[in-house]
Amino acid sequence: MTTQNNVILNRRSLLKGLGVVLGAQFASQLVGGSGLSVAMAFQQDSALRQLQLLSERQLKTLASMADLIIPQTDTPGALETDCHWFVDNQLKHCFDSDEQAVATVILNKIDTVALGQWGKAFYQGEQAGQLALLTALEATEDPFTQADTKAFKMLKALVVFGFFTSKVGMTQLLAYDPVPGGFKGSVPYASVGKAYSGGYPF
Amino acid sequence: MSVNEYDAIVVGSGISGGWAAKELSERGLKVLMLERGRNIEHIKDYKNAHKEAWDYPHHDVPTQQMKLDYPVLRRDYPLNESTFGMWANEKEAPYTEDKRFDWYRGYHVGGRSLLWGRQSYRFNEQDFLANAQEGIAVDWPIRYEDLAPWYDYVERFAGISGSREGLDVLPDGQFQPPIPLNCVEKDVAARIKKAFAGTRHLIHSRCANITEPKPEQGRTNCQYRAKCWLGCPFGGYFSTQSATLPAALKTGNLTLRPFSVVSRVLYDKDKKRATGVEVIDAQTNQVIEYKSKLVFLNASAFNSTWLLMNSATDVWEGGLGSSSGELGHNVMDHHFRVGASADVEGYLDKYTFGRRPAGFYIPRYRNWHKDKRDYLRGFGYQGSASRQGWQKDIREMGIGAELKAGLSEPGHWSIGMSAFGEILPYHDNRIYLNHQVKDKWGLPVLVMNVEIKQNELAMRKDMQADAMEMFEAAGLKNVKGYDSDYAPGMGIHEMGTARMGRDAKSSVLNKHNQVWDAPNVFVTDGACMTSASCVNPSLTYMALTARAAAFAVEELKRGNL
Ligand SMILES: Cc1cc2nc3c(=O)[nH]c(=O)nc-3n(C[C@H](O)[C@H](O)[C@H](O)COP(=O)(O)OP(=O)(O)OC[C@H]3O[C@@H](n4cnc5c(N)ncnc54)[C@H](O)[C@@H]3O)c2cc1C
Ligand code: SF4
Repeated sequence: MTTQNNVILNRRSLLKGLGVVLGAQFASQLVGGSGLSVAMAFQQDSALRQLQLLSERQLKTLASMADLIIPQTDTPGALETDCHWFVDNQLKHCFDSDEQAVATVILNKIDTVALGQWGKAFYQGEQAGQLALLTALEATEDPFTQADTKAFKMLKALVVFGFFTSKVGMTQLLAYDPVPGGFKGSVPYASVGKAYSGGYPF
Repeated sequence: MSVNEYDAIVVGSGISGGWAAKELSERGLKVLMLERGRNIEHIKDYKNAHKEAWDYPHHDVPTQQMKLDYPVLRRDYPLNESTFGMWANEKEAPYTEDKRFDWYRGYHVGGRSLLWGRQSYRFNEQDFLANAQEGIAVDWPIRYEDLAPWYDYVERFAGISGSREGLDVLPDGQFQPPIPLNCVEKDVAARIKKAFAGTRHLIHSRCANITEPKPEQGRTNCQYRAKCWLGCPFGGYFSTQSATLPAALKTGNLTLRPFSVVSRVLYDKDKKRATGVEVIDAQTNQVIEYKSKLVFLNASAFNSTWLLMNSATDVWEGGLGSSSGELGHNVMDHHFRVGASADVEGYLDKYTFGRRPAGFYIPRYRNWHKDKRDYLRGFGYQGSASRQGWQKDIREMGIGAELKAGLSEPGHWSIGMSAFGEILPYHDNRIYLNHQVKDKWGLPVLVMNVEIKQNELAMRKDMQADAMEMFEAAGLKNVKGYDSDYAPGMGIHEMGTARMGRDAKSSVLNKHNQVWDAPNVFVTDGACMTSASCVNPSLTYMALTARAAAFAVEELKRGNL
């Protein structure tokens, strides 16, 4: 059974169950949910493209990094979800000043190292060069320190978090099912084919 | 009757208050339910029930401002964007701590019935006997048999899913079919059973999520979304809103008044009866008196106790029910955050479907039958097995397309469990009034002075070691024990501060939950507990409330109140 069949089957039995109690129309409203439309509005909200903690230059560095960390493949990548804007916003509102400093310092350092090596800003570099630089950073190679690597991993984790909790990440990269309708303790992995999104899975 | 006069007043609309309102109104009484917080209407007001992480400005992560505003809530998992606004405002309603105490409160219609974890277990026979046999605190004035029919009654109505196991340590009840275990849990259960010769059991958890619809209550069976604490639009789990409140309203006998902070029980010292309560309107600050023949205190354990302490102070300095010297004492909770995790090899061609709202349970086996330890009482485990999701090893996987693909696939299976242990009722674990600090309405606040002691600390060693031992015995890999420390209150099962007992000298309440000094005042929330068992307590509050309400109506008819 494919995921889709699974979902449709369960959706149908769900609607049946709900219809008994609440009337079918109400049930389909629930399943359609208003969440989706709210979400669409959110992601296209240009108000969210306002610099928060970072400078324009730092945001550009971060955007290039996000693009390398989660690139576009046959599915969208981090840039298409505005992940860099998300991370800037998150840093501003959810982190304390020490952590914020860690983020801005490493973004500056990446840029400075790029300037020294290529005479160009990090965001203006060739992809291969950018990739080499970040790989060196993650592996704590000269001129990067342990603290730099740690700072990079914090940013990387934030990008990954932002992406896999975005609508694109949750619905296109991961298996998304807002109302499974039932539980099965064992299904063939092939019938799902990817990790589940979100939830607080037990 | 004047507009401010009722047969019964119920203070609080959470798990126990909902039951009191339902039982009293169904038995024909005119009931006023007073709730300090705002109203939350079933389905309509579950504003986040359909949201996903991406709908929240910070994808459900608390902001620095939220942490500043909620210094208690931030100590553990409850502070997030999705349940924000469902917790008591810590600035308006503060408390103070002699010793750290994490008090997680829901101040709104439904109380914590909307937020709870829904794990629902019966106390066993021994739970009601242990105090007397071991010389701890005082004897319960009731036995398991007194409560058993009431467990039956509340389970049938609330809808508890679970499996019948025939274990004396965890009495079976009136269950709907259980929420299934997954393939890994089933195998681990079989291996544990074999390794411990049938003395330890990994079973389905028992929880207040329904697996069959309850059309008579307008409730659909659980749809496996695992978003319960946002309010369930299907009525898939028991809450005041989904179950008891509609039943009470259907009688036409219930009046619900939100924004009503009950500040005092009014007491007639000549008749030795309560005459009603005093309310401060939370929005207008207007003070109003309501009269009634019966008063049920269901404001949650500490708030019902606070209310008693603030009442009849002209007769007893320590408040109504303080004559025994036990009011505010004997605070209990369940200590936890200790257990083990392990990796499970194989099963990589298998996955689950749906998000369960509950996992497995391992009932107590310590100090049970022939087992004897160097501490009293015992603990049970709650846990689950699952495949890791995209959160796995983010930090280790490099960057780029490979990382992206890697995180889009589930990882290996792992399993984890945390023990919940019994805390003994110690007289010096107590709460009391702080008259120096006032809340938004000028009322004194509570001070917490609670700690765990030698018995609990000794038990915690077993709680960790046993979890590791069971996972090792089940052949699991990379077994890791943990003890991530426990502060009193974190179990969110605070109780015991107006205990039931056999006489007025050593307890606050009698065997029917009546205040010895005011028999028309009933306290049926966690305050009444004489001991804590190691199982989650709310099902027992439900049973005690239904039992007390039935008795109260009979007594009223007999003219005894
Ligand atoms: C996250 C979480 C998980 C939990 N998991 C479980 C579990 O799995 N199993 C379990 O058994 N228990 C669990 N609990 C505990 C459970 O929620 C409580 O035991 C239960 O709700 C207590 O019921 P109650 O009626 O005493 O109080 P509450 O449900 O807290 O309701 C009390 C009500 O009284 C109101 N009130 C307080 N003071 C006043 C006043 N002065 N005047 C008017 N109204 C007042 C409050 O606003 C509130 O609405 C959990 C709790 C939380 C928060
Ligand atoms: S898991 Fe079940 S009970 Fe909980 S919110 Fe979802 S459908 Fe409702």
